[in-house]
Amino acid sequence: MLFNSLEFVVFFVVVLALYSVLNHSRQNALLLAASYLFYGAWDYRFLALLIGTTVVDYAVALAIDRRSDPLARRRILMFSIVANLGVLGIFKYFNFFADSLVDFAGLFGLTVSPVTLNIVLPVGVSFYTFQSMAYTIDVYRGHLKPCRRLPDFALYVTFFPQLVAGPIERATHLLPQVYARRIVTADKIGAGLSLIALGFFKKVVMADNLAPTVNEIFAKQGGFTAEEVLAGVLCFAFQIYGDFSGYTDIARGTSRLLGFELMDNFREPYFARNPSDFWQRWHISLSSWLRDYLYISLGGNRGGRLATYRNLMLTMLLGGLWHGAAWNFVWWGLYHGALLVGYRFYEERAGARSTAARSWLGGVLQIAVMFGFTLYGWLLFRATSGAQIVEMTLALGHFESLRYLARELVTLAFFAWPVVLLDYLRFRGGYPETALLRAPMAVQALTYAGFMLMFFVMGRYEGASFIYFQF
Amino acid sequence: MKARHSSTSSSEARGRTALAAIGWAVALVVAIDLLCRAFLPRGWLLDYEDFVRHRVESEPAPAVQVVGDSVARSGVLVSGLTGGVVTGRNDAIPAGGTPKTYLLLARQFEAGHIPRALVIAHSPHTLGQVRYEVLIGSFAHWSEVPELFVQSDPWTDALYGVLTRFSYLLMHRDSFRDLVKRGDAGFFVQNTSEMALPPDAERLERFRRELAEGKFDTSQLDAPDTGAHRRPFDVKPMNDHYLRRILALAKEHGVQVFWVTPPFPKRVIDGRAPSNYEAQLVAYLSEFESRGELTVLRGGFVEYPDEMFRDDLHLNAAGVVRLACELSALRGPVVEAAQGGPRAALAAATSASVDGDATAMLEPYCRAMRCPGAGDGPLVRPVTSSTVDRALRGAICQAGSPAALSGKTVSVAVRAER
Repeated sequence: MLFNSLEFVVFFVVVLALYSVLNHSRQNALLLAASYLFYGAWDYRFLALLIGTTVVDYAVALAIDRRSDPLARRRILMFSIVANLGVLGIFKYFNFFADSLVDFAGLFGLTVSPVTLNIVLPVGVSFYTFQSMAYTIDVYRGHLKPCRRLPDFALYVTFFPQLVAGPIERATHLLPQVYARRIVTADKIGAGLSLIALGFFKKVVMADNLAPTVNEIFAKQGGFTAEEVLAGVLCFAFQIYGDFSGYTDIARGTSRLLGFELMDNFREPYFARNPSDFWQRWHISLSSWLRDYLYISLGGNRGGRLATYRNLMLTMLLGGLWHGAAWNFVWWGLYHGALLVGYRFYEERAGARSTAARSWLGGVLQIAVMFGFTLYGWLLFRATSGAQIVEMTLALGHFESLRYLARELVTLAFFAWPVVLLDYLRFRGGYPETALLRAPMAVQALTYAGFMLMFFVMGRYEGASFIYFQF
Repeated sequence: MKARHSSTSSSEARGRTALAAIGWAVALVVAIDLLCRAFLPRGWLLDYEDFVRHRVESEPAPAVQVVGDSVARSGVLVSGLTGGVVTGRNDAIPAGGTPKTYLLLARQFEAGHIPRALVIAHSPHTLGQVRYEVLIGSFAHWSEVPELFVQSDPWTDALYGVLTRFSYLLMHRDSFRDLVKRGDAGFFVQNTSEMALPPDAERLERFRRELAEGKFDTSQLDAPDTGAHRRPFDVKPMNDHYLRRILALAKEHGVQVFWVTPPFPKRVIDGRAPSNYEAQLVAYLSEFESRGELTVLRGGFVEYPDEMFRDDLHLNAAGVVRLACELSALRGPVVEAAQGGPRAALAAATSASVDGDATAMLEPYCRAMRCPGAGDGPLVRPVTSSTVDRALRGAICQAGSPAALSGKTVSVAVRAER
């Protein structure tokens, strides 16, 4: 069930209506049932996987809590990690690694018969396994007491607004909200609806209208010009941002209408000044997850410079692979790892000199340079093959006519300017929420009306799926 | 970070203002929608639907009635099927699938206006889609909506259709999109005074110059290829259901049904060849044919050259004339079925005329497309008066059939003609 479908609107209105008349425990039961219905609407067979993950991590956390022996606790935790990663390995990565092994053997003239599984990738599997795994690790680390009631824990894992594309919530943040009685105020409703309006604009108007240009350019097999590559990558940058942050906004908005507060997942990512800054602004719930549960577990920056670089590269490699079982995600992860390592190296060398960039012009230059690096990363991310990456990269040196690029940029600007403006205002003001909430009521009303009109007229209603559903 | 957290509560306090603002925004959008409804045109398609609906309900039926979508409306010259012997009328409605055609015929038959022969000329791509926004949004009566709801899949599409009934902006969003994206304000200045299709003779008169000059409207052939018409063959359950109901309705009233599949451009046929589209379409229709519920008029018109189309679907003058000629060669059973009733009643139709002029005007074109001495035999490929066409036709006639023609023969023949 997609957020950008009438089916979801009807589903949510019904859930909300029932929710508003129930007491706290029944509200939780309703949300759990609704979450399973929401997930089962995609493919009910994979509910078993979702329930299996839930039950395993629920039991593991209780078992860890009951034991004081560190070795036993560690072994139980390992069971959870192997179970979760096993699910991911089988359902997401098995065919990729099997195919890669066959290709690798072929390099040495060896013939290996491919063994591939004919399995569908369960939607949102990377999100809920990471969320569930984080819980057991937090219990193991003593950051959290285990959840005693299975339905409460099941709701934490399956809460439908964020089940299939995040934000990847932490148990320390979401579970207390499951336990406590939630109060839905007019403030929350207003702020929630504001986020939903913005999210729908980002997804249905901005992202889905840029998608055809992106698809057309990346469907080409060769013969690219620099203008096409630039147009394709620029449009994709805003498509994926609108698509994913739009989803997050709708998830956070609908959660607010239910009295929940989900973590922020995006903070003006294209205003990042450096690679480290970018990862504090883009898909924050994943990057902080990778930092807390992978980078730090690998040793973080505690083992000296080279070990830090290695840990950064490994973290980003796995972060890239988290997105999908394909080589371009590996390249994308390694690319961002290299950017982080390079920036860390530069920071260590430049030291005080880097403060010069605090000037207005220096800041703008930093943002522009980082945006350029980000764009190339999106090329790696979106490319359909290694050959296409090479072709597109080489094409960047061959400009033919700027007319095509200008036309595509006008389209891009037409759909993206409200989002860029709102991001800029939030970036400049350092607001915790969208800048729209700070505007006078008349301005807000005109903006929401503009969003609605654009949604009615320019919105694409084909029910385009969200890009991050496939991860 | 601290500043961000401390300001979260104050930010939340702004939610109340946002709520009021959203309320005002909704009111503003509703007001704009109502103003649009009051002052902007209703739209050519909606007016045309009303026009056809009124015509079929109030006028006697022709002997041969053509139904279908926009491809059928602009692409099928009825005179090619009637041969000037019986009355004919093209009642195809743009943006129409089989549900719309069924609703039209059901109302018409209920009014007692029964044709003798019904020619269904839906472009097969309409079988794979349902345009709920026009079907439920404008065409269906409220009393027909519940059944459409039951048949719809998913039901939310039908719900969207109901929403478009209430909103001018939703109903006309394609026109607004054209205005915003292409600056095309045609919708807002359209002239709806002439609703009926011009008689075939008048259309052929307009085509005459284009055919003579060999310059045809291919204006939208270069439009970005969305691949929309290259999708694999698909029949939505709703379209299948209503096609069966059309056939049942016809059977109930003793109407003989014929099926014409309008041609597609070569590039579309080639694009969807891997999905075995054409074979699946034939298999789908053969089920009805084997039960005697319809007769498929099969000719050499599965694929036409791209130059005979305005876009990926709609024929231009060259294509319309060629199709009319091809249909004229197959009209025997249609005319026979149409002559099965009292002639006087048939001739009484006001807007359905026996278009002898058009038949006469078509004849030279059709003759030029046949091999000398072939009588009413199948057409060879070309339709224009260009040198290449003439040479190609000559080569085909010499070779005996298009299939026997080699590429080398063609090129030799073309060079010789030049």
